Amino acid sequence: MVGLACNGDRDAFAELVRRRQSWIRNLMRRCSGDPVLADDLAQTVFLQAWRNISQLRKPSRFGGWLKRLAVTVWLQHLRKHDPLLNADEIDGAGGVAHAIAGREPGIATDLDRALAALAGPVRLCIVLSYHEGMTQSEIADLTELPLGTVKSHINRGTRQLQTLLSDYNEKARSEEPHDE
Amino acid sequence: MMNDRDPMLQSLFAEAQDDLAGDAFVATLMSKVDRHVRLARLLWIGIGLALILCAWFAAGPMQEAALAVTFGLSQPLFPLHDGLFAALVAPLNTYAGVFALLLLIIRSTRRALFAS
Repeated sequence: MVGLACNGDRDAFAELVRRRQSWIRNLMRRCSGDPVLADDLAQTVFLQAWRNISQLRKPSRFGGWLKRLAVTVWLQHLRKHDPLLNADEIDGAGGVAHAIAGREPGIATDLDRALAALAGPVRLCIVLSYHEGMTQSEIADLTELPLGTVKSHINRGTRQLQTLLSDYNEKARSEEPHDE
Repeated sequence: MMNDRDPMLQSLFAEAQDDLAGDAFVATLMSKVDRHVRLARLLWIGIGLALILCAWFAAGPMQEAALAVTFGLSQPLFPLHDGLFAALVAPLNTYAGVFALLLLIIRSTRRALFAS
């Protein structure tokens, strides 16, 4: 399928998008916290994939290649909208809070609200770690951040999320069976 | 390397994952892809037409320029009368010969300086 798409087969590419769209859209939703923006960014990711897929040497690496594209698109979006990204001083909650306000309550909304409170790079590292299940060295490789920075981002983000989502922690504890 | 993840956060991330319906998304994307393909085709057609027009208008002047350069390069540097000596040095006694010699000298100098 990927091989066909590499040769410009439109239908093969459409099938690839159909199979991977949910994954990329969910990834973008966790990063951005805004479903509409997430879908726009996911469209950008797939459009860039269509433009560059002929350069993909190994079709078996399509998934990783697409993930790299998605991260690049997200970082470009952050740079465009958050000039202080590189200074690691941004407060990502600003634009996202508005988008989250209108969403139906639920785990995804609560999680996105908590993620929005994290700085952009911290949020990205957390999403790649928890949503994608990537190791710290894989994240460092993908984001081109130093490994030490990735570690500290994940530790800091985890602590913040634990605090912000403490209700879920207490709920989980209360649902655990008690030995008497 | 530490890659321990908080189990509560891990389960929250897993639960937050929606299986999103993709029909509308794919349709929108593929219409953008089609537009991109059309634009790319138009661009290539435009480039082709521009090249043809350039070739059409520039063919005459380019041919004249090529002839002038060829004529100039083949002019003798020093007027020599007919004879054996003139015939022997004729290939070098032109501007083209001097250029060729210069290129050979530059190439051998470069090799002598930078050859490992």
